[in-house]
Amino acid sequence: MKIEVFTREEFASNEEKGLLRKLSHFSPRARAARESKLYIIDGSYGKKDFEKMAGNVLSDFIAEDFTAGKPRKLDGFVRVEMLFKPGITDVLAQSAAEALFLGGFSKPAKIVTGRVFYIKGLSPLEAQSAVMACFGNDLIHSVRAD
Amino acid sequence: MENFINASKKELLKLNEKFGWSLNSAELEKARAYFAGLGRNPTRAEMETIAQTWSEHCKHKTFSGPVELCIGGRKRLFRNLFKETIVKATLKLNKKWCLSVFKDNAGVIEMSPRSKWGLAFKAETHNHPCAVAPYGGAETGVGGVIRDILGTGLGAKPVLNTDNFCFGPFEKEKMPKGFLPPKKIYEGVVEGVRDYGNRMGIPTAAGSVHFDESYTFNPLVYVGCVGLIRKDRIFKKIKKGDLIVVIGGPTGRDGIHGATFSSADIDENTGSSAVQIGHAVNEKKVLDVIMKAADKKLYNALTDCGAGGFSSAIGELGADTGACVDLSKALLKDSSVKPWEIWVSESQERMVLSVPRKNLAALKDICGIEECPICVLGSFDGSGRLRVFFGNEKIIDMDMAFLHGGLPKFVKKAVYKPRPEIKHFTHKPKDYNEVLNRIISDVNVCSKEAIIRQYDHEVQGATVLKPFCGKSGNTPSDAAVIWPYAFTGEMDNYEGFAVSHGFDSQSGKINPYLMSFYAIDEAIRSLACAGADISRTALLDNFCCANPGNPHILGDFAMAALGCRDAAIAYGAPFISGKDSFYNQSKVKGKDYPIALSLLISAIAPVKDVRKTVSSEFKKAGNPVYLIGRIKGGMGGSVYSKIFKEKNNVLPPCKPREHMKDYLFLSKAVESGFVAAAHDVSKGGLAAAAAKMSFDGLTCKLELGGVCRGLRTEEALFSQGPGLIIVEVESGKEKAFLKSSCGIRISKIGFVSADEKLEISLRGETQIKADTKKLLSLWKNSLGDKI
Repeated sequence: MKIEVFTREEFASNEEKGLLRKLSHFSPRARAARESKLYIIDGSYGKKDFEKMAGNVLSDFIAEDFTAGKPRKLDGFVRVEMLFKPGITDVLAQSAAEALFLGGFSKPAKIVTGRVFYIKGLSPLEAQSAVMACFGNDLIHSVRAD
Repeated sequence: MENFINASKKELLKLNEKFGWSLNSAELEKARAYFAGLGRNPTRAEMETIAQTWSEHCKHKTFSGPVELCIGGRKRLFRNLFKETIVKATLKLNKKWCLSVFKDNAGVIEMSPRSKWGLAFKAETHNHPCAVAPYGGAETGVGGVIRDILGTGLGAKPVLNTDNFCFGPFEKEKMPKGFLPPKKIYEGVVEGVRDYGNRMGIPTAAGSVHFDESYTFNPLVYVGCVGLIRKDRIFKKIKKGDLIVVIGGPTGRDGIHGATFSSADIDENTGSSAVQIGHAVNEKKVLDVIMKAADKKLYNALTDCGAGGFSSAIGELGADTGACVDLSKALLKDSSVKPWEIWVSESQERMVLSVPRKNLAALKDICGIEECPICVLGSFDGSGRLRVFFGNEKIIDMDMAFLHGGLPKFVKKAVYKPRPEIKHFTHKPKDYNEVLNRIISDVNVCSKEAIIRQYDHEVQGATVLKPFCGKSGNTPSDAAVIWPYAFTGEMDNYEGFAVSHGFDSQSGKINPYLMSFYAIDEAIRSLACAGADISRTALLDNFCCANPGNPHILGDFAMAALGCRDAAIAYGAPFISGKDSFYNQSKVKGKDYPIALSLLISAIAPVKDVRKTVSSEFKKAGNPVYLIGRIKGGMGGSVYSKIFKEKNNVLPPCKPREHMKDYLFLSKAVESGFVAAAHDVSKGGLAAAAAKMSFDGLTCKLELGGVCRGLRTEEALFSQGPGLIIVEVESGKEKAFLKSSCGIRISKIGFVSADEKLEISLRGETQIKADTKKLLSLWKNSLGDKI
């Protein structure tokens, strides 16, 4: 199950400024941008469990929102996922697994974490290159645009 | 490993390349002969252990090895360059307040004779990891140096982090395959240092950033840490029968070959397997366990798992006693990790402790409270051998004596050729205001606020002198001053300490010997400006160098090491610890790109009363302004020369004994309350220093005619020699200040003004009349505009 956690729209302007500033080094055509934290969780849980994990443990209910099992709905944005390549330490996943356990869930079989970027103004191929160039490191990350 | 003992030289080298050991042919032959003597082939784990233990990272075989230095046809042999330079200075000075030097993970000095506390200080580099994965490399660099402090003696409490970076120019955006652009390295490194330090709750409050073309492919990342340690806990002693206990994170396949990685150049094929991501929360748990266990005296010794993992940590701790280890008892991230990988894995946030059996239960209780994983791997068994098992399978059985004493030594050739001195000047500025604008906005002079403000420099509530000072927080400080009462609990004791740095790779391109003097001078001068007791200054040397296989590179390095020795003796400041990093060199399309020889000097000194510390911004209009020291000719190594391509490369001379006398005077004057502000003249020269002191509302009017006779205007304003400090004296205490200055080279050069124009004149003629608000804007925004 993929869970995306992201800043609520009403608080997202600073985050967007930072993303656009970095993206401007790659292309000035990026007009809008958003980012989500991505958790890919395997385990014997029902959909409601995943929603509880996202709402109660993985997100801050005041400033953040989440989706479970589907991407964010952002019209006109290209979606790019950035994950660690296999073998790279994923400390956030280690902490998330511990947090879920302490939050009352059985220990997940596997957790992978990543980042999802939503970019307006670039083609999928350009957005993929931009994310790698501005936020990733091709030695340790892989990126993929939907 | 089949056929190892019968392998030819060529076959050994092939194995070396295949397994990434970074051993040379003499070392491979030594290993072959050892196992031939045993009548068997080595196991993979044994060869990995030898590769780790004999790596440049662990053994420092270049610096600690024999070097033949040739200068103009005259040869001089150093049997151990490190001992005959850095260590020699410390031995010669023989300061009683140096409590532990060159023995442990960090050097330790006394805070004061009556204090029960010592100061442990260590700086490390994490250059190669940061070149390929800046965020993870920087994070684990910080984590590693914090563990060094935790592993000093019987455990020191980290109270200050330092960071010093060298990057290539940000304009370089298109890079060859396998290399990251400098800007991206910068972003990752700063974020890594920020995230780890902030999450650990340790202030990052001292450091510097330098830019040069030579760092484009090989950034330098120096990270340091200061810890407080009780004087009665400085020494550790492993006892036969002690258990080998590991606390902290589980072991995975992380960072395999991190130690041997540092013995090789970077090229397009360098992979990321040698790098991992840090986990600050796990390290915080380890820190808390160690502080509690140390109070209860539950262990006899400890050290950190750094490069080489268990192989280095257990190998070093058990060097005298021997050790018997069962790796099947290790806590693992992943059950598919092979035994030899467990042995050399560099998974972070782990410490190895030598624990008496009777104390294990109490230690486990503390680990339970702090939610810190713990496991027992074996014991220090007194056999004098290193024996490692995985269950019933024996994977290592070697003599400790061979492992730690078997490294073959061979003489490395070093050649030093002095660079010709160019005395004539090639650039004649038309407008000195414009020159100052260019200098103040140069990346090597401008504000590093965009970096510094990301760090929590006040956590623990002990930072007296912060990176920026003044009401508006715009003026840069010379040193960080810490009052560690929160840890000591001694609210009535105002003793603290100050930390500063010196770095001048530009002058090293002209004269590496003098570079060391400049770096040491800058570091001590900065401490004096803050009012530290510089008669008790201790130094760390962190050298970064390209491939020492090149005799000219090793020649420059040897000269710099000699410079360190001579300067340390002349300034009376011993080295207590340090580290060297070689092979900071990249091959791109067949061409070598070495870094400029780089020496970071970190200095620490006690502050008798932190309440008397002064900051560097001007305080009160009308106060007299003095210059300590004499301006000397020469534009070598200056920011001015770099910007305007000035060919004059004369380096102003350094007179350590005279400078030290001046600095001791200043230090006493600060303590006596005569000084309102002090700032050292460093990058950008006197005009830039005066401008930076003017960033908090007040400025100054200076007349330099009396202090620069026979010099050109640009030398007076922008040369960067050692020994110069601008001092604002309290007007009511000027007489007392002068009375105490007998024999000191001080000159009154002006006064503080409430005007908004910084004015500097020479022989009555105004050379600079600059709007301080404009200068501040240029200084503050130059780096931010490039990010």
